[in-house]
Amino acid sequence: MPASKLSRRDALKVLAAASGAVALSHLPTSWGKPELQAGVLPAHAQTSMTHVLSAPFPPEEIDLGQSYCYDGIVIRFTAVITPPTAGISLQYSLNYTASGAPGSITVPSPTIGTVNTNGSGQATVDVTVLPDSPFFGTTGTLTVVWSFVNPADGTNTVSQSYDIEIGC
Amino acid sequence: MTILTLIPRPTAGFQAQTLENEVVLLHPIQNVIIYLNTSGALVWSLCNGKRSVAEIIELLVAVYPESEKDIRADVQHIVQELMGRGALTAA
Repeated sequence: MPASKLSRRDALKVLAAASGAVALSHLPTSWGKPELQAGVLPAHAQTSMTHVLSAPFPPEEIDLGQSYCYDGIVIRFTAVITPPTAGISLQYSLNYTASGAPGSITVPSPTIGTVNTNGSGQATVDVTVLPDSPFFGTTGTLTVVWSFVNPADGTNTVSQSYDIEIGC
Repeated sequence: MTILTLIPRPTAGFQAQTLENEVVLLHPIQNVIIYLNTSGALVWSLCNGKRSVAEIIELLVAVYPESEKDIRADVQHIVQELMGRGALTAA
């Protein structure tokens, strides 16, 4: 089929597929002049692609409609690597320190594990903290430490904390 | 042969990293880094070694018909630039 016979719909499908291959989040709504800037890689990046780990998003409480006293509270931690790359393996190490009534991490188990980054360079872990007693609740601090599994991917670590207070 | 009949493809070794809605092309061995804005990244993504420059232009014109004149000039220019930087190779 000659390209000139392409409908806008068909062309959009091709563009969407092609842009997805380089993970563009959206197609531009209007045409802009293509721009190119070229340079030389810094020395430390010339032999391997290294990343920087960060945690720009605050921990997020996930509402599952559950009973905190009997089912626990779920907190989502998110780590981000720059430049964003899919498939980089990150290690999380979780710890819950009770300052009042005790509680425990029930999910994930074990509390040290790995998760791969997605196409946006993000990795998440959902953590459930359950009061040891459903009658007393728990108060304490949940902490995650993120690090790279493979030092060739990056070397820094980052930690996040979330204060938990479940009154029952 | 004009640029319109060339069938460009990415040069082996370039890695595309997407930041926001822009693309950075890296070639760690050649020590080259190329930044592309959204439109440039779109053209790059369409260079798959199967489409000619003319076909890429027609695709983009079908989506952005109001910019046909600009697209015809811009695509040829950016493909030439990318080939000149070694990021694209004519198949």
